[in-house]
Amino acid sequence: MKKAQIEIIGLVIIVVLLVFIAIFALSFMIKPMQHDNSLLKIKANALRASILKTDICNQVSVKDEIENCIDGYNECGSCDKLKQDINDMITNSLEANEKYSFVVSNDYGGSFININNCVDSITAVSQNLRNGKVDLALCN
Amino acid sequence: MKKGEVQLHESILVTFFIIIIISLGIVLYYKFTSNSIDNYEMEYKQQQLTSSLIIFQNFFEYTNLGEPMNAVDTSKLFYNNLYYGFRTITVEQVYPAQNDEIKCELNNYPECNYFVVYDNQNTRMKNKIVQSIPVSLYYPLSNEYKLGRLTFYLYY
Repeated sequence: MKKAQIEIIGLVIIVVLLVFIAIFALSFMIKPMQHDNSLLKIKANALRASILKTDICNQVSVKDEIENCIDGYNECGSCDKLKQDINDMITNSLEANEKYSFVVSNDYGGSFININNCVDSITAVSQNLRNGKVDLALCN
Repeated sequence: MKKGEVQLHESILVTFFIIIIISLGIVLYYKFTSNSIDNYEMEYKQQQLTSSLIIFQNFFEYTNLGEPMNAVDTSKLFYNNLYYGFRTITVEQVYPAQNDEIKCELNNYPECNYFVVYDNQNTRMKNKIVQSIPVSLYYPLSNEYKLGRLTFYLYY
């Protein structure tokens, strides 16, 4: 092999080495941030428990009133007002960028409240009621 | 220039460039490691704050005949002798919502909606991490539960 060709090979090796170093460095620098789901789960549990425990009126809790509404009656204003109140509670409790999904279903699979703002990455918790189920999810 | 001299210069140049490449690699490795350590530190602080959020409620929990009711007894929030480091801890009532923020003192409780449970700031610490969690607030005088938000500010 001619001397110039050997020298060119040497140069190429150096350039290839540089490219590998750059790729290695870039792959670590632009690693996507991983969201911590454990805090979301804790928040979702806390939110679910707190909302259901909150009194709407005269010692009647949100949990009691949801059960009443599923059975077809109410003690604290209309069931539509209850849905609005629940929506307000969740919105005021979370940060502006936090999305949620709140679903109340009865024992027959029908949906009483269905608020779904989640697209992906859901951290969900649920609680059984006397005559249904509450599912709350927080998402990124 | 003699042939040997040319080749010598060539070798020196090549060595010089290889040293530069190795130095570049060392600098990049240092930056990467330093970045990783900073990320670990931030992750640790976040987890520490999350633990504090959970444990805090145990100190002010409302119990009924010894049974924990998973709610913060708001009457206990005025009596706090614990030390939490450089943090601020607030509890605010979010439902029923009120237009004005009224800071709770002993003389206006329970006609208020914002508790500053602990406040220890350090002016030299310019950064802070904020985490909040929904909590159930119990008002013993009216025997009712309201919805609140517990917020921790960690200064570093």
